[in-house]
Amino acid sequence: METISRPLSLCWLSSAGLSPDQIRIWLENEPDPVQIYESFQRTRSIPAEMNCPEKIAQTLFANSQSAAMGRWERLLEQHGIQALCCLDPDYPAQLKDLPEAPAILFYQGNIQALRQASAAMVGSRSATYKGLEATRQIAERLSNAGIAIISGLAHGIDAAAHQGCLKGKSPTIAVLGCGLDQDYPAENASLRRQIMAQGGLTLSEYTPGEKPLGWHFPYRNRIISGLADCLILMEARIRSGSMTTVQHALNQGKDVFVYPGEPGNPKSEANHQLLREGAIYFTTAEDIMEDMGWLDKRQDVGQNIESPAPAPLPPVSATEQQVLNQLEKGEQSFDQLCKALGMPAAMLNATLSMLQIQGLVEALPGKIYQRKA
Amino acid sequence: MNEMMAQALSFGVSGVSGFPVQVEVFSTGGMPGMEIIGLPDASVRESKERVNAAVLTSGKQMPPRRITINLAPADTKKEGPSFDLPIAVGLLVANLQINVRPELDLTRTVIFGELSLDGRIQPVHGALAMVISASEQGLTDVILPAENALEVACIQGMRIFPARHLTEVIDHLEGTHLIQPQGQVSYEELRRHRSLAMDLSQVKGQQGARRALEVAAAGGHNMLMIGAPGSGKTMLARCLPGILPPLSFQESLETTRIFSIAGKLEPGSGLMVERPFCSPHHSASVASLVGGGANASPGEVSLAHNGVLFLDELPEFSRSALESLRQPLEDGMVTVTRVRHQARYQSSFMLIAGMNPCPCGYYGSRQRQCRCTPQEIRRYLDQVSGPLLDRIDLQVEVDSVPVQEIRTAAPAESSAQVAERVARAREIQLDRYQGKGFHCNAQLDNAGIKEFCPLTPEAENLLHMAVDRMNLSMRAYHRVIKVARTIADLQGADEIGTAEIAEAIQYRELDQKYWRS
Repeated sequence: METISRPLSLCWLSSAGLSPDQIRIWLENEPDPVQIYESFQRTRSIPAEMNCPEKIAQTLFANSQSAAMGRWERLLEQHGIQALCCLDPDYPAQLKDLPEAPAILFYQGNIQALRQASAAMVGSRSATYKGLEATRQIAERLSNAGIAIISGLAHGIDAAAHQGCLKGKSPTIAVLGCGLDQDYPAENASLRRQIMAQGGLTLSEYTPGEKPLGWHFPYRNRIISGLADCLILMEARIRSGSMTTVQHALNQGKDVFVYPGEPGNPKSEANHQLLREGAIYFTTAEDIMEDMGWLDKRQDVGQNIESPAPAPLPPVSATEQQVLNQLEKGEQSFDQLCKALGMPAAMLNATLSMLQIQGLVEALPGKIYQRKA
Repeated sequence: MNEMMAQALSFGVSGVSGFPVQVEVFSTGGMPGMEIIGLPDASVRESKERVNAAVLTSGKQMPPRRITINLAPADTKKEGPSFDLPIAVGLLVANLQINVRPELDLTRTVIFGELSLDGRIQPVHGALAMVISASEQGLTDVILPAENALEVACIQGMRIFPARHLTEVIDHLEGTHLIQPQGQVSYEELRRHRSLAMDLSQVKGQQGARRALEVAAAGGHNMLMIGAPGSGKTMLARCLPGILPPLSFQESLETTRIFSIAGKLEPGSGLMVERPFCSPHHSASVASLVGGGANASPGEVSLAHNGVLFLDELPEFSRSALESLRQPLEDGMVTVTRVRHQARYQSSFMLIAGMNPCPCGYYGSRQRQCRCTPQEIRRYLDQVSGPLLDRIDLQVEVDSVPVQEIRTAAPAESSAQVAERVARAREIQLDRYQGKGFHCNAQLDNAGIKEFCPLTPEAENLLHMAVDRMNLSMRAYHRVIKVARTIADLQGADEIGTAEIAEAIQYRELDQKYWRS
């Protein structure tokens, strides 16, 4: 009989609906999944202590005979997908003690990324502009401090977290809710390519070919919180997927950092509720690093970063200083600035452009300007 | 059998110009009846019933004879009821009902007008186009409906006889009672009575958008306004005709002629003195925008010729409708082609577009929370194609003004004040581009930008820095220079400095925020 590859045997083993515990028992009996596959094909025997229902045994057999094997083999090769089982040395240590940890993981990219200190960043798919900006900024800082950012590659906060991390020095890790061959969500395909190109990792417990079904995602969230050393919630509604991640994190005994959103905005309703219940309050990446004891690390990594010499900027003029002073009082719309400074629109436009180019002021949607930190 | 023959001269309309039509009436004995030939459409064919009734109610006879009416040239389609009057005149002459006074030459007197059954003469579409063509052919005398008289009163060297009733025309032809010719009205006279539909002084707050509107007007730039519902986009757009330079006589002739052909001119009104403002609804079809229909009539882009075309809710327009704007935006001209017809209409207009920042309209608003997903916003913005955006130089956000501001704000600058600055900037441009094929900065191509838009070294440096740091596309790069040229013209400066470039950069909102993913 022709021998099959190890990842392919793991595909087969993960596909029939065996629970992680059952797979673990089987692997403890016979550590080599290829052997499991071959002996099963010969004898159709399954260890009795697994209590494997007859139906699953039939599926396992049917899968081993059918075209499914060929399809998996193709997908594994096409997408460069690797597989791990819970007995492998590379299997993330963080997950070992987790109840319901997946017995088999599929991944693409750099598995060593999991050995780094890491933080999970989660939040709403439809976030506010400010929430997204804050996410990018915090992720970038943590990344530069040597903290890998873990998220779910969804729209909104997830994507912003990955983007921020990519700007920094650390790899970012995306945990998907579907087979790794699927491009989901399709809009983030280029982000995913970038993650891979910069030494990141995509990870999934689902067999290649699995569709992104609705219930996968909240279930997958336990891996996101499980892999990370702490969870950072940026923006969430009360009833949301992000809240399931928070629940998982609390069950797993992880620290949960909650970003204070705008009071009264339903998009950060859950943040305020959690803060009232005693979640850890933070506003900057430094807050998190301090609480997590990562501050020394930052210095280590900080020394290694050689930042490119910034281009010389024109000095701030008197008019520009005037606008800056006005913006110190908080974000303001164009009309408000015009009125407060008594400046003609033409001049204010020009001044704001100069300040934006110098990176001192930022334009928000709705013709609102704010001082950049 | 005594055959009789008579001829009258009329005009038809094709595209934006008139063409002469000989109305030949042949009357002979035989089976009584009347036939119109020479490719008449339904309204022309029905004309015999109107003419019959009008002649009888005017107290003349219709002897029972066999009558053939030919509209020459016989191979061009004739449309509309404007041939009623010349047909009636031809009939009366051929049936010996009237004696035309000898000094009046029917073959050199243009006659058109629609008849009602009681002999009254109704106004027709395209009178201006027909009279202009007649004047080009050296004809001077025109008998036309009284309500069209003012429309053509500005044309020099014409004798216009406005008629209200068929009997007046009969008396005029026989010489028993002559019609008073219409006195000439100079265009300047008309313009004195001009009143603005909307004045900028009524717009409260909106300092940024007001300034952008001024820049757009000064350089003839197309402009896109992005803002929440009710932020005043439509109001701002309506102010634009009032701050553009006044319509010149030549421009007015062009625009009025198109309005006249489309039948959009109010009866009894003269040449247009105000720049047109057209705001088609976003459900508009391609044909209604660029023109078309079975007999190729002008669309909104042509009605906006020399004026403003305002498209509110830009992404809601159908893709094909938006794409159809590309030719008129590029050439200032549309060609409408039908199987039997081809017409070219002028369509040189300023495009002002309005759109919400997202489908619900409140993205970035402080008044209300936006409830759109990022995908929805992307999909909404993607409705507007890159090639169309390429032709829009200014993109500005319109901030919604708080209610108390509307009540308390001091009266703002009026349109007249802004118009003065705009007119000065336009003059500078006309001087600069004399004989170069451009009229305003918006028309500059890349070669033109190189030639006419010198940047100071500091300004150039700044622009490169902006491209670098503010994610400005290369597409935006040239637009910024053009707009900066206009800002410099408003200032009366020859060279473009850092202040002009810096201000122009603010008018690229979409490059900076919305289309950045």
